[in-house]
Amino acid sequence: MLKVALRGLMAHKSRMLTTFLAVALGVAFIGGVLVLTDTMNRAFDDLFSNVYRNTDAVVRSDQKVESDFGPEIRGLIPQDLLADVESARGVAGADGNVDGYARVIDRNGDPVGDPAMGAPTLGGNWTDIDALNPFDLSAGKAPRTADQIVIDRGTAKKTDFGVGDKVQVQTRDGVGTYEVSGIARFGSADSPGGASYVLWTTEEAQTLLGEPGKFSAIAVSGESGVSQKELAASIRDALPADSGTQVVTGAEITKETQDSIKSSLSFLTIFFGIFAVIAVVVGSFVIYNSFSIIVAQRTREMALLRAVGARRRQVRRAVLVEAVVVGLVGSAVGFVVGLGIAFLLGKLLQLPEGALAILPTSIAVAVATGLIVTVFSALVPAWRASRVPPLAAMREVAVDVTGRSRVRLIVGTVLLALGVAGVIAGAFGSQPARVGLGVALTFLGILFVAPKLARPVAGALGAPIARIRGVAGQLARDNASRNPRRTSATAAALTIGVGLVTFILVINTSIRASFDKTLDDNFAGDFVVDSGTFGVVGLPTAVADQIREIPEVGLVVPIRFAPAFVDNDGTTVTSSDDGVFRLLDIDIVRGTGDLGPGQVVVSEGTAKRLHLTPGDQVNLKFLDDARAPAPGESPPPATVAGVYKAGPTGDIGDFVVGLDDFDAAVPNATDAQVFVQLRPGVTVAEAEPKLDKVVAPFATANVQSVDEYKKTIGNQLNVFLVLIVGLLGLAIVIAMLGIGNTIALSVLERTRELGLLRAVGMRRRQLRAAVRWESAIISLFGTVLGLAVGLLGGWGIVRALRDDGFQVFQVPYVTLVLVSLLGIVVGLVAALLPAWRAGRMNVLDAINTE
Amino acid sequence: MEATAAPPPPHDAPADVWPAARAVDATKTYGTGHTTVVALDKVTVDLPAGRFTAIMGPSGSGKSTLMHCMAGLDSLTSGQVFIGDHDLGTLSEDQLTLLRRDRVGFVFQAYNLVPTLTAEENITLPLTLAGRTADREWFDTVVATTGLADRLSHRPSELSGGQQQRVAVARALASRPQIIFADEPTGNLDSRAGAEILDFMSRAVSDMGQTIVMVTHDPVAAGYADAALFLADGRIVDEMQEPTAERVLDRLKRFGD
Repeated sequence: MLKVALRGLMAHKSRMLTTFLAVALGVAFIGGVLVLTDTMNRAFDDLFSNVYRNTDAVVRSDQKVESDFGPEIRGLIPQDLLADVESARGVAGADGNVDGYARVIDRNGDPVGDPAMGAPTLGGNWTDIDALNPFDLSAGKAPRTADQIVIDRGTAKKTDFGVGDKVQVQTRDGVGTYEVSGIARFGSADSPGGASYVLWTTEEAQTLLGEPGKFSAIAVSGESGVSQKELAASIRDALPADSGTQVVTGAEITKETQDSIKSSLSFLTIFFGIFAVIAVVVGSFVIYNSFSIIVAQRTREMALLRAVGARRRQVRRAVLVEAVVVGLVGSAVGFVVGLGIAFLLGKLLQLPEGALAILPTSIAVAVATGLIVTVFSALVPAWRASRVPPLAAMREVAVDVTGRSRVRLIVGTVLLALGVAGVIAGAFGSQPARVGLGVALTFLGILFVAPKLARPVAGALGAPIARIRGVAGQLARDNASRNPRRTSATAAALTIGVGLVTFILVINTSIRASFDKTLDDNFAGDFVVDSGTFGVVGLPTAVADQIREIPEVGLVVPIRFAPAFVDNDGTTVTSSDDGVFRLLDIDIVRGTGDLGPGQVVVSEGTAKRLHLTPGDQVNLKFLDDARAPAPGESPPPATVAGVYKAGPTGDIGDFVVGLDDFDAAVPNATDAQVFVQLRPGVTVAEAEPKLDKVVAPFATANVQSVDEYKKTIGNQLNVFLVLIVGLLGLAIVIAMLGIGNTIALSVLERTRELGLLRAVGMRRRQLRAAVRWESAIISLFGTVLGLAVGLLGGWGIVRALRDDGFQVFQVPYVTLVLVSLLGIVVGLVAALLPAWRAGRMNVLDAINTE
Repeated sequence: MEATAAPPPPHDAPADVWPAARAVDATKTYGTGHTTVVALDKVTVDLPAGRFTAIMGPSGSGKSTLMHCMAGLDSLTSGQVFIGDHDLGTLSEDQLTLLRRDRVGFVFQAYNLVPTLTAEENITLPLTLAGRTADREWFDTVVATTGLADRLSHRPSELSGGQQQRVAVARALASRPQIIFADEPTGNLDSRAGAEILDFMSRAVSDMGQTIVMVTHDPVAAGYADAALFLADGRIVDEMQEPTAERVLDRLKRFGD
């Protein structure tokens, strides 16, 4: 039987080609993601092992605040501790680290890098102790004076700056001009993971990035023969008891940094992983369909096998053996292609140089996925093959009996009803998870019902084509509804891709519409000033101060954030002007919106969670709070002035304090955004040039009128939209392969019929058109179902999140019409090759085929 | 050269005046060298218009090849075939297709109909392919003669074998082609249904003036024709006017000698 199976496979190689491609594409993506993840992890592991190669201990603050975004934030430690550390037994060398934000301005005056979307732009101090300095000078020398810097070689190459050049660098206080004294490499790389670096003398770095007299940490290298643990213990002994520090070993800090990088990169794995899974699911439809058709076409062969004594089990196994072979070969090829994908993505993400990390587990997971998906997808067709009665050998070709099963229709309708009900319930109950479940059920229901729908819907969709394209169109329509199960299974693969694209498009349009509406209805300001990085990097507070000086300006409301502790719990505290509530249309539901000294306004949720009412006191202490009399001690408590209710403009944070309190506690704050309201009677056009002029010296600051701001946000969303839709394109390509496959197999099956048509006078191009339009109708059928599911899901999610910023449900009609047209094009393109082959067939041979 | 010009209506054409189709030194060989098989060996024949001609011969005699080549489904190795005054050898693939569509009718042994189309759509298929509409009067005549009036909306799967062949004949007639080629049209039918079809075809010739060429190995079928040609080893070896089943059978028996 094994021989029969393998012979069968070899005889039908070309029929298996697209199945094979579907497996390979899915596995390529999975393999690529796995290898990329391993490569990234290893690259960063190596990078930090290298960075901390000679670091045996690190002294740092014991105060930290976990952040919702990015890594934890730690407090600073006094510079004086360095002397204590140096005096400890076993210490060979020690130096303080200073780090912060710095951005090089290129020759065109544009800031280098994009910390919102790419690698960070960082600043630090140059350490003269070689063992503790991860950078190696490749040109020039270390910074010796306050106006000298070293930049990383990656940035130097990008900007074409060299030793001796005068370079502008933006830090939190503004832009300064420095002379490049040297260019450094980071270990073997030009820059650490694509990040840009500017390194000053320690003193200048403290002024620009940290605080004078403070370090972020002290790195220590030990004398040989002293273990890291012994060294850490001896440093601990040498430090004053109340220093507010902790000492960790080099091994610990290495591990911690590696883990933190891994977890911050894990979203990439998850993000790409989702698309890999989608590709595999779509692929499984293609595989299932292809095996089903092949089994149906070989009914007579199977029946003959059964007639001469093959047992059901043997027939079943014969089909599964084919699946195993296709799965294995497809997976193997797919994995190799995946290596290419990983390599390209690695380049795109600017990973540190190094070979791809190909772990045995990645190979195993990728190949196993391909194999399992293929075999599982072939299970039902194999079972069906085994049910072929021996008598079928004598009968004409099998008839498609699907679409006649009542059970199928009932189950499908019930699932559909449950799914839609779930979406509606979730939508009005503000439960997005339930909406998701409802959409999944709806899709499942559609899978069951689709064979029933295929005939009428394909008929309806094909009607205009039959009208326009004459007999070719009519044949296309009839053929598309001829095998309802085949049509619906083929279309289902596309339904997934189109459904997801539609969903994303609807969400995107709705977010933009909601955002625009919020700005129109609830934002009383005229300008938004930010750094165009989603607030990742702040603006110097001087920007807001200078805007305030402009006579046309009425109200300036900056928003700034800082890590803090409230009753010893780490959190982020917001600071702004009283005007923020008015400008953003935020209601004070209890108490007042007074942000005077010692006062704090809390959000409704926070008030509920912590049982706070106006008049209550909270211990509010910033990280490195300058108001604290001594390290470890607290500033005076704050009084709850009022409770605000987040409106459509959103949440401005759990705790909001006034600017004076904030600035007293956090000396080097930056603004995430600055809102500007003009005096009555002043137009945006009059004021804009004046604002632009004031802000011009701050290279990263952007002045945007409300309309411009809408556009900026829209463009930022579009970047994600393009990325996601691009990745979903893979699913659509696989679905397209599936359509091409079905059409090719159908053409093969109908050889005689096509021969007859040609004999009685159908022209080649008529026949080709008929094949292409059949494909287009199937494709359009899948597209229409996808649009329906996507719209349902999109509406459900938008409605469910109405109170979380989605006030407007908006359908991108034009884009969806384009998607439908794309659906037709996908079908037409998928059928190009089958149509060409159908046109080429010899009429006489075709008529005489069995 | 376009082959779309309307053919002269066959029923107006005086019989025996000009041939509907013609073969001149038609030769068809397969393979090369030692393995060469000669399917047609310099066959020259006129198929007269307005007549029902049967081509007979044992299997392998070349009768099907002759029909395929004369109908523009296959090409000759050398020699010429004409339909009307069109030399098929000079026509491109597309021109041949148009010629088949506009001037030739086909009835095959089996698998004559497109399963997704109704009987009516099958009958008018060559016309629809040409973008023409059926002459209603003629269509009704054909349908009435074939007795398919109450079957027009049925699909082939809902028709009996005999009915399917009648639809096929109706299709061949519907476009009033210059010539109809029938390849063992009764091969898959029982004798009663077969007789119906043959009777119908001979009436199409006698009453409507149609030209039909039928390939068959069944003497009874040949008995319906006006003339029978006998092929053996790729050559025309005999010709018989007004054949009857008995005379054809006698003639065929002599092939065994």
